[in-house]
Formats: sequence, C-alpha cells, structure tokens
Amino acid sequence: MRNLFLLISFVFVAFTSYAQNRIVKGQVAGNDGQGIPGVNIVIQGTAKGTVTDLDGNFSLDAPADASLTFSYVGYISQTIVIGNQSNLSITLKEDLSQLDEVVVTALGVERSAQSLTYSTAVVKADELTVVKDPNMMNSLSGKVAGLQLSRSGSGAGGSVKVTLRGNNSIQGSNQPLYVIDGIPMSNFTSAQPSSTWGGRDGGDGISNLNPEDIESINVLKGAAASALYGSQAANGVILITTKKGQAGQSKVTFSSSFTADQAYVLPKLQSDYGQTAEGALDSWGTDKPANAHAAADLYRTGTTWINSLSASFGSQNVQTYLSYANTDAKGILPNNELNRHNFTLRQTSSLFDGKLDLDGNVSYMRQNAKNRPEQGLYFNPSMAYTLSPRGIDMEMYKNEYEVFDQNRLLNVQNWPLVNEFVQNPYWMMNGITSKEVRDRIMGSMGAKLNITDWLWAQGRVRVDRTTDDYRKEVRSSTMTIAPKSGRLIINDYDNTLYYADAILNANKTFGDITVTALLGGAIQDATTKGMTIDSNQGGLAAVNYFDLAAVQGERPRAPYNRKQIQSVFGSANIAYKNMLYLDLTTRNDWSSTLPLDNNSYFYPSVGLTAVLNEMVALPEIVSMAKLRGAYTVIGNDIAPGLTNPAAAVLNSAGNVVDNSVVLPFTGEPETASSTELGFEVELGRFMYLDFTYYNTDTRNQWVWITNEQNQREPINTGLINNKGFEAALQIIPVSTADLTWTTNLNFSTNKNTIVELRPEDEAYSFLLTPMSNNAFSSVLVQGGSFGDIYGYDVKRDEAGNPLVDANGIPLRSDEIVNLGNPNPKWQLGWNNSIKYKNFSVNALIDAKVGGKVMSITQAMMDQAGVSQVTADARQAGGVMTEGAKSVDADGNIVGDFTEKANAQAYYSTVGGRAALGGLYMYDATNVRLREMSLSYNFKDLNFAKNLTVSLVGRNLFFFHLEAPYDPDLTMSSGNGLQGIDVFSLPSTRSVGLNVNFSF
Amino acid sequence: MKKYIFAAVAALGMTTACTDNFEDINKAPHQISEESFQADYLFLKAFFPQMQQSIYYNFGNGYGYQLQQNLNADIYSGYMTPPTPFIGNKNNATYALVDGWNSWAFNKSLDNILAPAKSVSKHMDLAPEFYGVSLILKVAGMHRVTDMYGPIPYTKYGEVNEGGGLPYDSQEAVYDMFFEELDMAISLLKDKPAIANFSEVDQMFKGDFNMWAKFAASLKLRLAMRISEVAPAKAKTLAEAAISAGVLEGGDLAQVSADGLKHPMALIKSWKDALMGAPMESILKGFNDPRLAIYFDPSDQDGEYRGIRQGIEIETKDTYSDFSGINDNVIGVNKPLLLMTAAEVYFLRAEAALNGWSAGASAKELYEMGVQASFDQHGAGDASTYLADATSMPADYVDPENAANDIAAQSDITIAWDAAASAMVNKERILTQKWIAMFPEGQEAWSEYRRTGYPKLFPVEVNYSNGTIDSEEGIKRIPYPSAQYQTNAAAVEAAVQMLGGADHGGTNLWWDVD
Repeated sequence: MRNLFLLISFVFVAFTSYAQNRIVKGQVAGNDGQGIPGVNIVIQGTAKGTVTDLDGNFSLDAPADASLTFSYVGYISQTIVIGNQSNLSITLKEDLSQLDEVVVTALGVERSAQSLTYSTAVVKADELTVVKDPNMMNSLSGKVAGLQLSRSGSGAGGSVKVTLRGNNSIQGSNQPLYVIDGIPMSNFTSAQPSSTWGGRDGGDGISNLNPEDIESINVLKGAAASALYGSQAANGVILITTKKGQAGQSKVTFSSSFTADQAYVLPKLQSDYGQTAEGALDSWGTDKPANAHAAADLYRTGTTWINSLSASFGSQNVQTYLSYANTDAKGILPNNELNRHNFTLRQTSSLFDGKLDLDGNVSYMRQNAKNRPEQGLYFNPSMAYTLSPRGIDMEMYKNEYEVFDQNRLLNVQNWPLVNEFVQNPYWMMNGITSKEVRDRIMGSMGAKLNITDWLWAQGRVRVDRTTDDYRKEVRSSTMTIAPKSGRLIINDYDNTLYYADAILNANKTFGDITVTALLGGAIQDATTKGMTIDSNQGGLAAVNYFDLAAVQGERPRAPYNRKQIQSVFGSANIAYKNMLYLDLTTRNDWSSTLPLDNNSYFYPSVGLTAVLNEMVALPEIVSMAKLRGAYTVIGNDIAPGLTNPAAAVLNSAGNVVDNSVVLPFTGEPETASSTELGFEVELGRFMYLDFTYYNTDTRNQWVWITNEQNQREPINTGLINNKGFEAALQIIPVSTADLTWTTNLNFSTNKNTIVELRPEDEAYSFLLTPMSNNAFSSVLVQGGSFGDIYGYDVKRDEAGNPLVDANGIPLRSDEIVNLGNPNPKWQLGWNNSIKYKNFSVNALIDAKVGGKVMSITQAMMDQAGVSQVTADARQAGGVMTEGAKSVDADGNIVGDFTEKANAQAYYSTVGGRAALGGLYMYDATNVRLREMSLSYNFKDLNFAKNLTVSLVGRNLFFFHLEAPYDPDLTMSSGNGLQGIDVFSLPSTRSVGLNVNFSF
Repeated sequence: MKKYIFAAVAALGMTTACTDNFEDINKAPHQISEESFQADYLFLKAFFPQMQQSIYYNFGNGYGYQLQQNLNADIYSGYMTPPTPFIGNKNNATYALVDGWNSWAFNKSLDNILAPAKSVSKHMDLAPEFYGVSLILKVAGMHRVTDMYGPIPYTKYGEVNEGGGLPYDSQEAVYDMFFEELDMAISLLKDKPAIANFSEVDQMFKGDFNMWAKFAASLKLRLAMRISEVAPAKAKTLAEAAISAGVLEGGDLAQVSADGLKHPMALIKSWKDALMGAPMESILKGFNDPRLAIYFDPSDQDGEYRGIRQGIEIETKDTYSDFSGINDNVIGVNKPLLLMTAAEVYFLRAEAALNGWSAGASAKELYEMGVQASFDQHGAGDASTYLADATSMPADYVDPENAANDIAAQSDITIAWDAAASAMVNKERILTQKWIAMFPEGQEAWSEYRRTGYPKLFPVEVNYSNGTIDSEEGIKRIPYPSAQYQTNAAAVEAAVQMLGGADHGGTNLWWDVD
C-alpha cells in the first residue's frame, strides 16, 4: 500500500515537471562549421540528456532554467544556460591537447591520458577495418611501437604470435593477455607444431572476433600498465573496447570487404635439369625436361569476403547494439576454406536516474576451417609439390590423382614415387582432408552502482566457452603416414573461462589533490578438456571407414588442465593540480598451480608523472610536455598440474607406468620486475612525440630439468632481461579545411639477454625446440638470447678458414653452434595518411631490421636438385667454397682447396632436412609496403549517413627482402620454432575493395 | 558512507583465499588416484607390464624402439640395415654416432626399468615374489644397457648420493650385482605357488614362478658366458651353477605377449627403415637355410632375398628400399617380444661344454639340440638333414645396386658338427648357429659378436668415426649421452676412467678382451 502511494506520487511529480518543459533545438558544430555527430548533451544536475545526430542536430525537452553541458571526446566541453532561447547554435572548440583524451586502462577503468605513468598505444576502429584480414590482429602489424607480430604460415585465419617488448618467459606464454571491455578472454589454441617435423595450427582465440564490433584497441605494452591484471598480464595486455548503442541515435551500418589474395615470395625452382632417373626422387638428370611445373601453379587466387551488418539504437535508458558478420575465405591452396559467422548483442542501460548502469553482452561465433594447411614435413602438399622431380607430368597427376585399383576395388593414389613426404600433392589435398569446427559463446554481465557522486561499486561476470572439433581423414593408399586401411585423427577440445570481479571505486577531490582509488577482488577459472584419438598405424576396422568406433588398437586420450586464480587488488591515483600524478597499485594472487603452502604472492607497482607545462613556463609552441616513470613487480604462476604428481600415470598407450621419475614443483612464483621511463612532448596539433625506455628482469622462471637420475623436475631458475626503446612520433605537416596530411612513425628496439640460466651449472642449456634429427634447433644458454638458432655450421680451422673434404664438400662443425637470432634488432612502422576533401590515401611501410632465419625448404630443394640455386651451380661447373682448406680422412689439413665441388655431391651432402644449417641462414631484414588504401567518402547523401568506398592492398611489395621466404611467417605461435621455414604456406599479397555504408 | 566501505572491504576479504580445492583443481591428466593405486594391490603389480615391455621394446613407442636398439645393435649385429641415408648418410650405420639417438637406450632404461624396479623394491617384505621377479626383469633390461655403454649407474640409482650426482658402477661391479640379484630371485621364486595378483600382470609365464626361476638361471648362464674370457674361473662356477639350477629347454621361450601389445618392428617395417642385413643373406643363403624364407620377405626388386651391407654409400632411400624386409612370421604386429629362447640356452651350454665345463651333455649334442630347437620354434621341421650338411658355406655377397659393395664370404664355416675341427672352429660353428637362432634380437647378437668375433661380419666401407672406430674390428660400444656430461658430469667422467679408454665407439668393454 505504501509502495503504491510512492509510485503515484512519483508519477505525479514526474508529470508536473514535464509540464514545465519545452523543446530546445539546435546544432553543435566544430570550428570548421561542420556538424559534430554523437555529442553528449546532459541537463546539468540530472542524468537526462540526448546525443546529436549525424549532422550535429539535436532536440531536447528541458526546463527553461536548465543548463546544458555539451561534451565530446577531443573537444572542450561547454555548458550553456538555455534562458529563453529555443534554437541553439553551439560551436565546440577542439581540444588541442590530445592527452586529454580518455584512455581505457586496466579493468576497463577510463582515465585521462595525461595522468598515465606509462606508455600505451591506441588503435582506432577505422585502422582495423579498412584493410581487413580473417585474423584481425594482422591489422595491427606496423602500427604500434614495440609490438612484434608474426603470422602462422597456415593459411586463411591462421594464428598470430604477438610479442610486446620481447620474450620474457622460458616455458610460460610470451603472448599478451587479451581483454574485452575490461574482462580477460581466452585466446585458446588447440594445437601448434612443436618440431620441424611439423603439425597443425589449431587457430587462436583472438581471430574469432568480428573487427566491426570493435571501437578501439589499446595496447598496454608494459607491466606498469597491466599490473592490475596480475600474473597473466606479465607480457602486456591488448585491451579491446567494443561498440555499444548510443542514446538517441539509430544507425545501421553495412560493410563489405573483398580481397583477392595471391601467393607471394615463392620458392625458386629450376627447369633445366630433369629427374635423375625414372622413379628417382631427385632431379640431377642431364636432360632439360619438356614441362616443369611452376612453383606458383599449385596455388589459386584466394578470396576473402567479409560482410557485416550492425545496428545500434537506444533511448536515454536503454541502448542496443546488434551485429552479424560473415567471413568467407578461400585460401590460396585449393580446398582450403575458412567460414565464420559472428553474432553479437550488447545492451547497456542506465536505471534509477543514473544510479545503476547495466551492461549485458552475448556473442556467438561459429567457424569452419577446412583443410587448414599443415606446415613441416608431413601432410604438406606445398612440400610435395615443390620437391617433386622436375619434368614430372604434374598436370596429369593433378587431373588423375587417383586411379581405380582392380585388385582392391578402390580408388587409390596415382603417383610414380615411393616416399613418405613427396606423395602426389593433389592426393594430399583430396585424399587427406581435415575439418575443424569451432563454436564459441561469450556472455558477460556487469552492474555498476553509483552510490554517491564520488563512490561507485561494480560487479562483472563473464563466461567464455570454446568447443573445437577437429577431424582428419587419411585415405587408404597414402604412403607411410597411414596404414592400408587409412587413418582417422580426432581432436575435440572444450575450453571454458569463468571470470568474476567486484570493484569499489572512489574519486574525491581535497583542495588541489584528487584521489582516485579502487579496491577489488576477482576470481578466474579456466579449464581445457577434451578427447583425442589417432588410429595411426593401428588402422581402421574397414578401409576408409572413418568412424571413431572403427579405430583399431589405439586408445583415446583425455587431455585436461584447469587453473584457478583468486585475487585482491587495489590502486590509488593521486593527482596534484593536474601537474603531478602518483600511481600506486598492489595485487595479491592465489593460484591453484602453485604448491599449496606457497600459493599466495603479492606484488606492487609505483608510477609518477610530471606534467612540465603545468609546472614551469615552457615556450609557447610546446602545448604539453610530460615526464613519467614507473617501477612494477608482477608475480607469475606456473603451468597447471605440476605440484602433485601421482605415483603412477597412464601412458599414451593406456598402460599404467611408474611416475617416480617425475618430481613435484616445490618452488616459488616467477617474478618480473620492470622499470619504464618516458617523456611525451606535444607541439599543438603539429607534432606529438612519445619516447619510452624499459628494462624488465624476469626471475625464478620455472623450467623442466632432467636431473642426474634422469628424473624430470620442474624448478625455478634463470633470469631473462629485456630492455629497449620505443618511440612514437606523429606529425601533421598540413592541416587545412580541405587537406590534412598526417605522418606517424613508430620505432622500437629490444635487446634480450639470458643473464642466468642455471648458476650452479653454466653449461646448462634449455631446448626451446629440439633438433629432432633436422637442421634446426632453438636453444637457450646463459649469455645468449631468446630464440637463438642452433645447428651445424661449416667446420673451420683456427684462422677461420672453412674446411672441406677431398671432394670440396664443407665439413660440419663438431658441435651445434649458435647460428643467429631470428628477432629483429629494430622495427619501424611509417604510416602516411592524406585527406583531401572526400579522398583519403593511407600507406603503411613496415621495416624489420636485423635477425637471421633458416630455411629448411631451401635446403631440401637443394638436396633434391629442384632449386634454381642447383641449376646455377651446375651451369657454373660446381660450387666453390672460398678460402677452403682440404682435410684428409684422418682430419689433418692438407692444403688449400681451390676447385669447385660437384654440385650434386655438394648439395646432396649439405642440403636436406638435416642440412648443414650454417649454409641456410639468411638475413631476416625486410622492408615492405604493408598496407595501402585509397578511400572516397560520399558526403551529403540523401539516402545515407555515410558511404565510403576504399580500394585496399596488403603486403603489396617488398622494398627489401633477402630470405627466400617471408620472415614474418612463423611455424608456431608458441615459444619455439621461430625463424624457421619448413614449407610454410607462402605469404599472400592482397588487393581488394571495401564498402562501408550506414543509414 | 564509512559503513558501506567497511562492508565492501569485508566482502572482498571473504571472497579471497578460498583455496581449499586448489589441490583438486591442479590435478594433471591421466594420474592414477591414490584409491585406485591401493585397490587390489595395484601398487605392487602396476609396473610389471611396464618393465616386461621395456626390455626389448620401448613401451608403447615404435620410434622409441628404433632409437633404443634398431638403429644401433640391430645393425651392428648384422641382422638388419636401414636403406635410409639418415642425416646425409652420416649416422650410426656409417659410425657417425648420433647422440640424439643413442641416448634413448640409456635414458629410457632408467625410466622404464630402474625406476619401476625401485618402486617395487619398496615392498620387498610384503611381497617377496614380486620383488624376485622385479630383480629378474631389472637384470634382463639392464645387462643390455651395460653391454652397450660399459659402466652404468646401477647400484646407486634412486638414492640420495653424496655430492648430488648419480655414480656409475664399473661393468664388473654391475655384473657382480646381476649375479647376486639373479641368485636372490631364484631363491625367492623356486617352487613357490602362483599368486593370482601376480598372474594377472605376468605377460611372460602366466604366473609360473618356476619358469621365472628358469629364466633367471638362463640369464645367469648368458652373463656367465659373457665374462668367460675376462674371468674364466668365475664364469665356470656361475655357468655350472646356473645349468644345474635348471634353465630353459625344449620349447621354452622367454617372451612377452599381451593384449594390444604391438611388435615395434612392425611399425618400423611400415616405414621401410630396417631391411635384411647382408650377413644374413650371405650366411642363410650359403647354408640353404630353411629359416631364410621364414625370417625374410623376398625383395620387391627381383624376388630374390637381398640384404644390404652396413656402412656403405647411400644417396637416396629408394636405392635399397625394395630389398628384403623382415617377415611377419617374426615381427608381425601381434608377435610376442622375444627375450630368450631355449635354442640360445642350448648353444650357451654347448659353448660351456666346449670349454670343458659340466653342461649336462656334450658340445655336439647341445649344438644339435640348439639347431633343432630353433627349427621347432619357427616351424622349419626336422633339422637332421640340415645338421648333416658339411659342405654349405656362407656365400659371397653381391650388391645389384653398386658393385663396389660386392664382397667375398667372410668365413668357410659349415653346419655339420666336426669333432675333428679345432675348438676355435667349433666355437665359431656354435656362435654362427646361435646368431641365426637369436634373430631378430640384435642386442644379444651384437654383444656376443664383440665377445667372440663370430659370426664373421662384413666390415663397413664408409667410416665417419674420425678414426675412433676401426673398420675391420667394428664398433665396440656406444658413447654416453652428451646430456650426462651436463647433468651428471663428475660421475660420467669417473665412469670413463673405469671404462679405461676414451668415451667413443672404439673402446672395448670390460668383458671384451680380444
């Protein structure tokens, strides 16, 4: 009864107040007179208001005595008393200090850029959506200082490896944490190759997103920025802010992007010398073959269609954003396809006069990847095609890759060679097929209670669940890698991430001092489980009967791991007169992966920023100058399942085995301590420079060691240091009403040193990638650097002269030695963007300088005699090793060797998968035109708010490239297999058209 | 407002540190729970399949077997040769010893033999029979390892050792311990009634402890004969004691078979990585031996039986990949893993008798029983005609791919026993027939070849050992894994001292006195 009375009085009051209102109309424009869309208009003292439409017009019911506040990012806010005016014309001044921008920081907290004590880099939506890629992370390449991005050589939608400020962790992940709207998401990959023998790329989690849903991406590069996310953020954070509906604004956007993708940087094959003999695998014959298959002919022109539709609308209380996107990519390898559907619904609402904000988001993604190309030696049509003998009638084997076998009553592979690697490449594409279906659902809910004007509380929950179903069918008559009945491989995985947090936030000013403080707790629980089976040589119950129940002799495995982290954290930002900012954060984590008696770890950070232009008089041209520094410690847990090994386990054959050879982890959490110093200078709109120095020490790394009893023990050891500089420079040389020219340079350098590995044993080395009887390995040793490539080099005498045998063929070094490091010494991205009236042109040049990579592809082509290199050598009469000394059978140096070695003998010995690696190292330096776009924006259309048409290109050409493949390609997004090419799918050059239409 | 803050802080404090279920969360996959481990005495019996399948084999891992034995002993015994020019033909076959391969036999034996044996030994008082069998399996597994490397870590494994390392024992000390352990096992097992819990995991003798005792005595005989040249007096005592304790005889076979157990050679056969060795072709063809067609497949090349010489120039795999493979009669996917045969034991006794030791019968009788036992084992029928053949001799070897590899037969040994022949010739006769009979178990064949020099095998043509291994003498041992120099440096350096020569393939083992 009492409630009813309250309700009635509420309605009455509301009605009466409405009666006194009147409608105010107007337009908000910038200095140039153009209307500004999306300006937020609030009636002061209330939560009521509206937003301007596309032309900057608005209309609002407001009391006559009200004051209206107009605000918009990048402009100085204005408050106006309405008085008796009914038609307002407001001009907002542009805020020249870009640092007043609001930046989304850890946990989704918005802060003014000026107050930050660390470097961040923001990438806006349009930089992500103009030149699209099935894995949207590829659009970040070259745009952020200190971000190194390598893409998997596994075709459309393959994984990416992102490294921020170098590799810190030996066995842990070195990839950043991905966060959507403040909450961590799972970047789950079900499989990555682990040796040069190869394997499949199971795709990653970040590629599942629809780039159209993204408002902006903020890259938190250092520990200082990400400290509040704790251990999982030790490698930086990619913070993704998604779009939401806008109050008072209805908008439907359709965008369509098409690109045609062409294989680029192909292996160079010779066409002068045919097969050595009939049935032979190599091509050391003497006759010129009548027809020699060209490297490019295996590939088709790939196509990528990305179409998306989104709608955003809302009232003052409830705003909705809806989107659908479809990605359809046909890879350059015939029969490789990727298809993806994304659905997103986001609803934000503000209730009880702004006292309670709710935010709900649900998205569903289904992805179907067919025949994602494998890299390495097995199941790789690119390899089979490239290594096939020169002169083989490839056209015939393409059209008739199978023939009917009368004895078996079955279509079988048609191929004249017997080899496990080099089978009919078209059989490998049609007789061996794979399908990987991923379903992913993400749902989150958040509530924010504004308790007073200076205190609010927030709670959020997210569930992120990915289901991967992978199956591979290898048909009968595939040589060696399948038995007579065929082979079935099934890998099913479920990955689930739960996250919940509660945060109390206060913001209060005491005189000149403003304090923003936050106190919170979070729980995160991630589980991966699944079922895998591989019939392998056990075979199937009937030929080509690809059914789980038909698997013979092999048993399924049930991979499982789970990790839970509970945390409390707090931070305080103390600002003195917009001049000095002090940041303090602390966090304590409890991780399930650590020993029970030692699973809690605490770590702090401190940062300080001084805004010089507020403190001292600077020349007028300097609109802003800022110095900042931060010191951060981050603790890190270890992989799950290491603290309590059972006395017995099941081995891969399903047998019980003694597990006393595996010892428990009894050590400490890892810690990374990092120092970051930087300054920023802004000369009005003309120039902005951000310079950062960082130095990170990661200690107490956990690694598996084999002790002297051959027992495996996870221990803490090692100290890895990363230090470097990052600089971002923006200059706007021309800025008029019609013409704007913006040039952005970002530069970064990182030096990685393994300061200590095992102090008690300086000779200790850790194998990141074992040699596995091939030419490449990646080894960590004290004094070395992360990713160092080890292999055999040419044996040399004390003076450094190469030693050769009696035939002039170089000898191998006795031991494997450091052949180089694949990471670039420095990186540079240079973007130029010119806007003239409705036209805009954008070009991004991306340079990576330094580093060395190995090509087993080239080594194997050379051994088989199919490469152009071997044809050149044959025409030159052999291979000369400059300055060589020859050695007799007993290892004694006999004298100078000045003849040429027979090309076949030479390459048969130094080439191949177990090549003399030192001869197959290449400078990884490359400079390329990474992105180019030309857009026309149709303004003043009656039927649409916006129509932009762009001609786009990616990876258009190299200004400089020395390696025989694109060094941006990586075999794995894990820690190993960096800087090695084993028949990765070639890089692609893409050109296309992009239309963005909204009404 | 203060009370709100207080309440919020209190709420946060309560949400944290609920870490009670962390132990449960942090479980690794495929771990046996404590309850399951105790139930039905699993903790006693669990590791017997592992040990039994790790002696000849690498427990569920075909390529593991390839590295453990097939790419070393199976080649060096003359039984098999890979047609594959691994690592540009610079590999074990050409004496460019590959550390990454040769560490397997060492490391895996610690994990799959010594570690589980240690776990079983914790319960020796509760279950003496289990302990007894574990000792036999330990010797059966580890004597192969010491016969590859020389001194090995044995008596100090799994213990906290002073100075932190894992000390090696000299080969003599290891052998002494073997004999001690075998004697202990025989006394623990002889005439003991079967135990159901053990029978369930017995993949060799269906729970018959007397058979285990016979196997132990046979191993003792094998090892006694091994030291018969370096320590003849001790060898005589041990051999005679072993024979009188009761050894494998008639159709007895010490072999491992179990549901789902796959012969590792079947997988290697599918890769065509191990084909017939040239010595097998030379001897079996020369002897017109009926076991030729039982052991091998005709070559795909011309239907003849063709073996490959070890240590030759090979450029590509296809050159020799159509030579004779190994017949499924011997290494079919469901064939048991053969550890020791009655035939071998007869030949060991024949050699003992030839030495003048008490072996229960004459050398001739035992020799002929050995051949007949082998024929019976392979269904080759009556051996009397074969045994009467006094003229057939090993044949010259012809390589149809490369005449440079052609080579004359290395011996004129015949089949029929010749009482008039010298002891040396009859020893060669016994060892040659033992070599044929033990196929495909290359480890024992290689050890006995090194001890006796029989049968005479072809030398390598291509030798990349940098002068450490003599081509005529052949390889004498496998070097220690390089990882030992990293993790256990002081101990392995002491082991090299005990070895009495450099840590390479040319240094003789303790029992190998030429």
